[in-house]
Amino acid sequence: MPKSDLPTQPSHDKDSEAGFWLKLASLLAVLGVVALCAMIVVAAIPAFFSQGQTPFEWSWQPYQGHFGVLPMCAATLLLALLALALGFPWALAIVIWHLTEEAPALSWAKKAFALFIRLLTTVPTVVLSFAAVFLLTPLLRLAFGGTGFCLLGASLMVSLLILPTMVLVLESGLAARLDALCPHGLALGLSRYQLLRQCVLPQSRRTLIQAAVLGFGRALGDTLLPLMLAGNAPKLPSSFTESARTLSAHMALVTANEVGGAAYNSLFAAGLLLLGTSIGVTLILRKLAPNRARGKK
Amino acid sequence: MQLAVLVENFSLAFADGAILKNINFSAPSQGISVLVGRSGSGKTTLLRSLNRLNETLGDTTFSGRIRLDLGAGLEDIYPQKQGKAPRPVNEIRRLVGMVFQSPHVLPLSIAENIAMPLRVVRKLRSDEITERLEQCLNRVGLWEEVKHRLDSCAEHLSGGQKQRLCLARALALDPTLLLLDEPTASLDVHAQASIEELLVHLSERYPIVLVSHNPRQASRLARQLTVMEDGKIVENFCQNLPTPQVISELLKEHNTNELMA
Amino acid sequence: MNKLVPLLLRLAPLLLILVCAALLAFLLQRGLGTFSPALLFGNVPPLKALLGQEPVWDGLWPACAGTLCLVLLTQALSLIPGLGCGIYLAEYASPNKASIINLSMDILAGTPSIVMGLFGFTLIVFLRKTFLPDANTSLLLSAACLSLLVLPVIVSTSCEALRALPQELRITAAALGMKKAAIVYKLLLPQASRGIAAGLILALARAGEDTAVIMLTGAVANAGLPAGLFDKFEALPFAIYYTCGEYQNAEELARGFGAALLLLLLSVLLVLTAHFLQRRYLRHRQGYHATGRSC
Repeated sequence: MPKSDLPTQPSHDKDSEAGFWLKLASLLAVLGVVALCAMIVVAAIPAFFSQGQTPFEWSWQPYQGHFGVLPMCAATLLLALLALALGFPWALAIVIWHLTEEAPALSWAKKAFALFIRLLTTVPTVVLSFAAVFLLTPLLRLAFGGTGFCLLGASLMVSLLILPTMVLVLESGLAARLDALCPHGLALGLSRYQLLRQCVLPQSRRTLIQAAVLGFGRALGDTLLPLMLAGNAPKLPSSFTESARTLSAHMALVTANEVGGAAYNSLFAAGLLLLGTSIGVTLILRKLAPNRARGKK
Repeated sequence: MQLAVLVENFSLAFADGAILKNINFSAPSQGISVLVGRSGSGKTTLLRSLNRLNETLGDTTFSGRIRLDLGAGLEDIYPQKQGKAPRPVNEIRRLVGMVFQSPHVLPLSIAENIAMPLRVVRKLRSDEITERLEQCLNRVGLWEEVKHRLDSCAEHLSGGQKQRLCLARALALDPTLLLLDEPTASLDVHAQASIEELLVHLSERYPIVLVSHNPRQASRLARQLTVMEDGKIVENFCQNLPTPQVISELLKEHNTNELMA
Repeated sequence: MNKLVPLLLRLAPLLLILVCAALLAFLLQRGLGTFSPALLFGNVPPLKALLGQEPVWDGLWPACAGTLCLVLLTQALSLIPGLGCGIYLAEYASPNKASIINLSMDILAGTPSIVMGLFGFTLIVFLRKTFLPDANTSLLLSAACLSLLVLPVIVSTSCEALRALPQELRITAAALGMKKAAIVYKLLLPQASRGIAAGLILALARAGEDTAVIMLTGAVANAGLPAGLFDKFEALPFAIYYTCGEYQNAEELARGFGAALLLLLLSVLLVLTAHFLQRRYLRHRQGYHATGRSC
């Protein structure tokens, strides 16, 4: 049938439209996000145009009029990268084990482990931090001297925090591909491990990146672990065993101590930086998962 | 002859293309009109056009008109440029009973399957509902089988029982027309026979449009037989209905024709 | 080599289990001994403390009560927008609108909780400068910010729960003449209620454990029982954080361990409940789907 003969009258049905309250609820939800972003952007604008006391310098000495947040940016990045470097290989190894363990005696362990990982995603960070302060910090003090409150300690715990999230993403990405290969792959005499190593992992770069980006985003934004474990010295750390202050911890400290005007500028600048990076991470993740049903039934 | 359904120059398209192309079709107010055709020929879509159910599956556009006798003579069910607006869609659907290929029981108790639509759609009182429940289950021959377990889950019934429950549910809403989409396709031979018997019985009271995939069933039940192919109607028999062999030949012939083209 | 690698791989989960076991054993060893009515109520008789007749100074009761009020208020604030948005997304939204909602929920889910706290803090700074010079951080503000935090959880779980229902349910009900609204509220929502409940419980757990938001928006160490929507309040996670830095004696520290263990138990309990609800829901749904097809 030629295109011009296609029927044109839409058979529209008014009853199938959403009611007023549903639309209002959805509008509220979306407006909440817009308000959040707008508020933080507007609050941070003065920080970018203030003369003299710019937050973009390398020194934080409020009583000398220096309100720089760059050391905190560096510390945030270092912390997140170290946590990722520790956590990602660990998560990958765990997932590979979980997908390829073939010993029948351990099948119950695999099931229990899945629930264990699920539970780990919900351990309150403040509890994790509290335990680490009294267990990990003394150990670090013994090993490296100093106070024990350092970037390394915080990174170790953050890697534990982001581990279960990365495990879940990796597992959901790799499991389906491996299972699709399994019947005939196993018939060829290959083990599940060999199949995963040879056929699945090389094709799964997207999933690996996705897990790493998600873990990185979580690590950037966490507040309590660095606040309670990293020592909070507002300077650029020269090694991982030194004290450091992340952007998130900086925000918690500044609001707690109400230093005043120019300090607030650095607070809002820090907030905007964190929000900006987290939105960036979200957008990258959405790009990485194009097949996700987006608004499709 | 009085008509229950009159389709004139009707076309229907989803977002990805036309499914029905310039259909002209009518069904008498008595007896069973059977639609046959290969899968993908548009017979289910035509059936679902008669109660505007296609619209729940996505955005659709149409042209032409469809008139049904919903109790007050033929009336348009799709909006036309002239004339008064059609009834609300949900009312049309209530007045046109439909039974699907696989028995779509709601995941509720047996009684609730019938009572819930009556309560929500017809807004009946509970004593009226109880009365109607027994009456409808009796009419499909299910009452004796389920009267002691009306509160158990309908999903535990057998396939044939589920399909009769679906019929009872449609009858409870006082339809003026029944649409059946291969109602016996998923049933075993015995259940199929009992449903067919029931349909013949029901056709004395209700006009029925039935989609069938089974040439023997089609020739057994049909008072009028229509063959569809590629969204169009290619044959229509009102008298001298063909034998099952001829029907299967017809379906096959169109098949090969298409292959040659 | 190929024989060895799978064995070595077992070290990875083993290490994780060991680390977690060490942390848990440590918490249990230091915290379990404190579990008694005195942990919550100090020297005050429990009944009097519960009724608010006598203030509790050396127990966790005010913090627990604060957290309870906080999560309930959060739930009340996020329930309508969250559930409404989830229903809209699953049943009504056109692809364009759905992608807008999905984008905002993704952004919200990825936003660090400290930024949500900053949002509340900024709001107060703004209000003080403009309409309300007396505005201050409070229970209501914390709950509002927390409800932003849990919104994506509620929206996505309720949307998923509705989408898990078979399409034929909608078609059948439509063919019976039910209006769309009746289908959604009388048929689909009751069917999906267990999946939605799981989402609400997850949201409770999330709101109950978060610390970063409330430390910027009104949680303090010594407020007593929550006095009102516009007052400062105590909360369990904040009490843990505060104890860690500011404890004066061994007794306070022990109470900190008790609080940490209590919070851990509560959130694990909530999440386990949600997990099993959700699993049973999905299994039931898939079961229905299978029988619907096979016969």
